[in-house]
Amino acid sequence: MKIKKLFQVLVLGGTALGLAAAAACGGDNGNGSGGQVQTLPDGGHTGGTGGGGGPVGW
Amino acid sequence: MVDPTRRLADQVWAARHGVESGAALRFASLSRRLWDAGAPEALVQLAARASRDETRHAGHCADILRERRARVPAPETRLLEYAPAELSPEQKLAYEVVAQSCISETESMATLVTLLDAASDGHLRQVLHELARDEVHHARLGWAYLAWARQRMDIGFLGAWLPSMAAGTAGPDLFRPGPPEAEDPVLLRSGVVPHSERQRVYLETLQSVVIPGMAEHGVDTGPLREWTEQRRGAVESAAAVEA
Repeated sequence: MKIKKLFQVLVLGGTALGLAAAAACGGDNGNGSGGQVQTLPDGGHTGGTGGGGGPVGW
Repeated sequence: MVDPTRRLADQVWAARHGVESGAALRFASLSRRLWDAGAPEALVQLAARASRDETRHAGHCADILRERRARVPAPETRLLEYAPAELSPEQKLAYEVVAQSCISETESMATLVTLLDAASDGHLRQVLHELARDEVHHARLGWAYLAWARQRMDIGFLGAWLPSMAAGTAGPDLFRPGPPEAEDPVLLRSGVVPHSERQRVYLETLQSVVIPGMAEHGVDTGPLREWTEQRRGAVESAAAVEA
């Protein structure tokens, strides 16, 4: 697969998935807290800088 | 004496073990946060599945290290978060999803595609194929999230942060000169992309996938285009000096 084809597979494929998922549930899962709640996985703790950057890739 | 090329490949696989175990924690957290934010069930489940995938991938990295008779490091146990403190909670979630899926996982896919083209070893090829199959979904999560989120919030703030995300995913060494063994084409047979080829793949992926993807979602790509061109110029200047 060529790198340029990743635009179609990832970006367009993902975008179509997101639009379909939003349409299927009316745009919201009904939980309705609007992103105000943040939880950590059991046993996890935060690290990183919290000042920008991103996860290192392959 | 240990062959420096072999040692470098061992270091890369050890780092990948940490990348995969850290990503498992991040996707588990993102799944919960997406649910809290009211995201469609399909996206919540996609993130949860990605967490399970990444745990399995870390296991594959450990297997490869053992096959290479290299030390398997302890898994990442910290939940690393990168969103700047000044962002609102919903902006922080957008930042973390985009940094993880639209940048890091999309770049990882490009690396895997490059490696699959070159892989000849049966087990390595099987592992790379499995990882590539899964990473498609991990990257799509970010682009799917943007399609949903842009209907609910202003995602324009992301444009200014894209260079920081891209620099973080590149890591501190990608755009510095590497040791001579980092250019050894034999690395490809160990599942590692040689340094200058990795630089090229990284920049091409930003140029042909990430930047047009962000533009597709209405995010200003000017800062990321400028960052990419600066790195491209530095890489070409370094190559010219070596020639």
